[in-house]
Amino acid sequence: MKQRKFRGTMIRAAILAVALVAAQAVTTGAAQSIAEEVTIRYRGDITRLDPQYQSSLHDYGIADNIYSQLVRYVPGTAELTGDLAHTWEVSDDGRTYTFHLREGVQWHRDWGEVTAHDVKWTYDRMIAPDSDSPGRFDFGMIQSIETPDDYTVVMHLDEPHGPLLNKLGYNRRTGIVNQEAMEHFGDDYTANAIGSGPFMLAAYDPGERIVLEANPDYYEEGLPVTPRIVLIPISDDAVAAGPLGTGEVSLGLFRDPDTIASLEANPNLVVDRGQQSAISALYYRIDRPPFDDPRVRQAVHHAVDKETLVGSVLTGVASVAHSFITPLADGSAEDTVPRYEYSPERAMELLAEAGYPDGFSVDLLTTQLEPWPLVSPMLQFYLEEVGIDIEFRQLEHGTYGSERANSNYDMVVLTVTGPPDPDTWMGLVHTDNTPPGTNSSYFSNAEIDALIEEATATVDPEARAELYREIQELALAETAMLPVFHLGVQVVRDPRIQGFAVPIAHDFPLKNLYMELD
Amino acid sequence: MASYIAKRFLTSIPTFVGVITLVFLVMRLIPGDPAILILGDSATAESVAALRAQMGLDQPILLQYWNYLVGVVSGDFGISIRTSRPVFSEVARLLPYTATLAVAGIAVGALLGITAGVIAALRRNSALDIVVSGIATVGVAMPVFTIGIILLVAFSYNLGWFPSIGAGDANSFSDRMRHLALPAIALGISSMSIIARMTRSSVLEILGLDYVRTARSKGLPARSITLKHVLKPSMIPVVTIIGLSFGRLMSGTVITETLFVRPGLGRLLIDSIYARDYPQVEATVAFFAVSFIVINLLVDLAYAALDPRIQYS
Amino acid sequence: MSGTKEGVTTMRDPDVRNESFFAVVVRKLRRNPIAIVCLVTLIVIAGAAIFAPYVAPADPNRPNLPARLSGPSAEHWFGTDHYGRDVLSRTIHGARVSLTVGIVAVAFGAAIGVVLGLLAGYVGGRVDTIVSRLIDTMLAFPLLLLALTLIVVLGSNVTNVILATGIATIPQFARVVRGSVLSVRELEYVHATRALGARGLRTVVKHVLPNVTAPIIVMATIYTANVIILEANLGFLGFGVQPPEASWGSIVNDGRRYLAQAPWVSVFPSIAITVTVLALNLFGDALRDAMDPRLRS
Repeated sequence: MKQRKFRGTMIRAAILAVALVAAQAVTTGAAQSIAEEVTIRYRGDITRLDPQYQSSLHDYGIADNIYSQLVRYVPGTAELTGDLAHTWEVSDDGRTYTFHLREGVQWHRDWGEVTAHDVKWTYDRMIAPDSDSPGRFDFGMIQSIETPDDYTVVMHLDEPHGPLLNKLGYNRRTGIVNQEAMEHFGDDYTANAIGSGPFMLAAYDPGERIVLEANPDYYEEGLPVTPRIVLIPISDDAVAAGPLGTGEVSLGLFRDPDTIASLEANPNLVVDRGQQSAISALYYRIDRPPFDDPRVRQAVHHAVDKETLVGSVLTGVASVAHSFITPLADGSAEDTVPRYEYSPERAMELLAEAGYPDGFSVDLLTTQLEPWPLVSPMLQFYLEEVGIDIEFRQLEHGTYGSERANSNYDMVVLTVTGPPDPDTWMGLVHTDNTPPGTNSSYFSNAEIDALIEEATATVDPEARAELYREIQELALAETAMLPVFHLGVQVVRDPRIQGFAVPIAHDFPLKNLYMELD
Repeated sequence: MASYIAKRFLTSIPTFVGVITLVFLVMRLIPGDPAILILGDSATAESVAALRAQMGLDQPILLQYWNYLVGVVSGDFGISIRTSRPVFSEVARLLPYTATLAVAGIAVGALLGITAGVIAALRRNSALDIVVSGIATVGVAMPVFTIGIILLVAFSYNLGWFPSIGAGDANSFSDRMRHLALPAIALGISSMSIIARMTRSSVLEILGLDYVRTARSKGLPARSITLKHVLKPSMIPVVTIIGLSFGRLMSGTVITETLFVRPGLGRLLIDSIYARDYPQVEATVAFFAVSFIVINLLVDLAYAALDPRIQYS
Repeated sequence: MSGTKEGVTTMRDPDVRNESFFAVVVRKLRRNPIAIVCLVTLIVIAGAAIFAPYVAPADPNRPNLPARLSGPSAEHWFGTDHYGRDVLSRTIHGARVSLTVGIVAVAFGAAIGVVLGLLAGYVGGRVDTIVSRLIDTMLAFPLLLLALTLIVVLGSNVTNVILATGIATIPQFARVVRGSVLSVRELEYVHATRALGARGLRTVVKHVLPNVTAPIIVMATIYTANVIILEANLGFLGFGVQPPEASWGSIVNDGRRYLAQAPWVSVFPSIAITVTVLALNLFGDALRDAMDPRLRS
């Protein structure tokens, strides 16, 4: 009954919304008209729109629409395509990358044409030895950049770097900027960001809204489709569900499975599901007892019923993970790594063999960041069932972050998101990347370290993938961590919204999005 | 009067210095690193260090404190770590939203609370008293977010009468009022009870005073006694409560602004604490402290206006 | 409370010279049906909290995933939550946490606040100035933000939530006590005691403290309610007690995302909060009336 009442209201709200937007509809084709303005939910505020510098996760999605990159991913996939560069070549020794740029691409608001010099200036600024950009460490292998003419960029590397193209295609610190505009606006740059992407920043009121306006000079014919997009920052999924239900916003990304389930029950909304380029796992301190004993780590693997956990608590928003490279990337060994069946009995036997017949006490550090609050208490439950007594420490995300960075834990959960290239997750098992790096288990294996370096320097995709598969099998035979789930993301939308591909990481591709009006 | 105000301002200076020092210390004591929060959990140690240096967080704490004090004295609290904007201009931009919400909340609360309090006092211990006091107390017995959620589910999600997020179109008064209604009512209900209780007891107190008894015995009609002798002096505790519950009100705006996704100082503060945006937290708290001091002064001056027996010199 | 037998009672209520102050209060409360209903309610809730392990039908923290989010039934009176845990058992155990937080925090805040207030009000001079500035500084922070900041600093477990909310109530108590002491100090009999040569501390304990007891008790009752609400609000912002341990506030907040499918997760603990806080407030009012000599009926 409640359901029916809700639905009636929804219809009324929808009619109201249609009436409102119909007044300002534009006609694109013969019959079809689309909304002039679309309002969507975004997760947070913009920090800074200088892509090479201080970039919060929320900046990446906005920068994705304002800036062009050399190359980028086809929205919703891990497949690379050209952006400013229409074609590119890699030399046989893997040390030289040549990009051929499109001609006639214009900067926003009449700041001129985008040329090879802008690309060079952007990357030079980031990788300069005295640069304090966090991106210096992502692109440190670029030794020099040449621009033989206005439309050719040549990058010289100090050694071959297999993941380079995937890094260049990821919308993190790769947006090409305009030197004159940056110097002209100085401290006010973020409010006046100049890019060459499909949208321009029209207004930004922190905590209130971010307004994007179509770039009339965008190089792709007919794009972007929607003239104006308003993004409302709402961080909490449960809060954001309200305005989607009432039609005040027409689209949003969600992580919380139960919020999604309640939205899915709403006949006026549609849910699209997709996989994220992310790995969520449980880590334990291998550098000291009790987890220095492989039998104890195996016991942890046998103790946790991942299938039930992911199947019931994360229904439809995640899939069980067996390895630590996203299946989206070439080189995932999801199907070949060792698996440990759920068996509390076996876990207890192993603990007894390792000299802990009565279990032991450790702490588990975890975060309030979704969806961990749903998962972590279940991890605690499973571990306690086999006699591992858990001191549960679920902290606000900022505190959690510094506790992890300071290695203040026995067990910790962590989600690592990045470009869909196996290299993104090599830090999880590399000896040199212990906290604040991502190797939260303090895993160390000289053979694996050498394989990682070899894989990084390998350019041939098939050979690389083979090396990464070997690394995963070796690391998981030693139970370097307990991979728990592959995170997904859900787009909840008004069914009239079309053309929005489910993002794979921090991308937020809006150029094809539009809302049909009847 | 002028010298009284000047004296009050002078004595407020130590409070202000105390507040800004305390907030500086507390922010540095809080675990959590703005650089890690901005870069995300996947960041490398080197990039975290680079960002910390860029934000000046690698300087010795005393130097940071000195720079901070110099900034405060010159009216410059710095640039927000989270939004890269001058922190004070953010406070100034969001102040009207929160002030509107707070005033509307108090107005709703006072209207409901005074009415309930006077009725309850005049019909003391009757069934009406019990019912009215009970209803008024339910407001204080529910967390603001529960009240807010009930209002949202009923009047926004189901009936569709009011929008559920935002502050409305800045150019349309009616749209802003529609957006303001539910948060203001939520806030008003939660402050109504305390006002009702104070009104009830002060009205009772005054009803027991000799001159009111005299007026009653002289056969003055009940209504004119109520208005003339009871209501005006009763305003004194109500004004006190408005002053005292300023902090409570600010806490309420934090919750309502979060729940109704309204821009405002409360949400600014919470978001900034989450992000460990030190300069923004410092500026916002300093602003709250100044408002508190000013509001208390206004409350004291209001006493004088309401009660001729009180005079400041 | 033997101190109330001498002199002080006289000042309060000259007509009941033979009856101790608290006997009067009890007598008045017994005649007030609301007070009795509230008290009985509070005793029942406190009893449930104290004997939670015996009263609760199930283990409050044991998940049962197949039975998640099932509605109220004979087996689960209040239904189950998103882990299939019994909401009734969680609400009963939640009473333990919520009441402990409320009572201990207020006891802590009141103890320190009273000492500070007495010091400031009675000693006066420079001590008063320092304490008053301290009180003002703390009051300048909104209660919720003060508590929230302390929890971020200390980490969120029950002890720290108690500490944070307790500290946040200190200035309120200190301020009220200071005010009462100032007014009591001006009373003639205290002047007289002083003139007779009684030492400061003795005067405070013997004459001033009993006189501020009434407002402190009333305030403590109401602040216990306020702290329970405060803790719930902290839970809403994600700074409540550590899961899987649960307070009423955190259960309500857990259930917030299931309002459409499983409203029972939030509704029952919400009712528990409302009933308890209502009872505390109404009982506080009754106490105030009973303790106020001018309102004898």
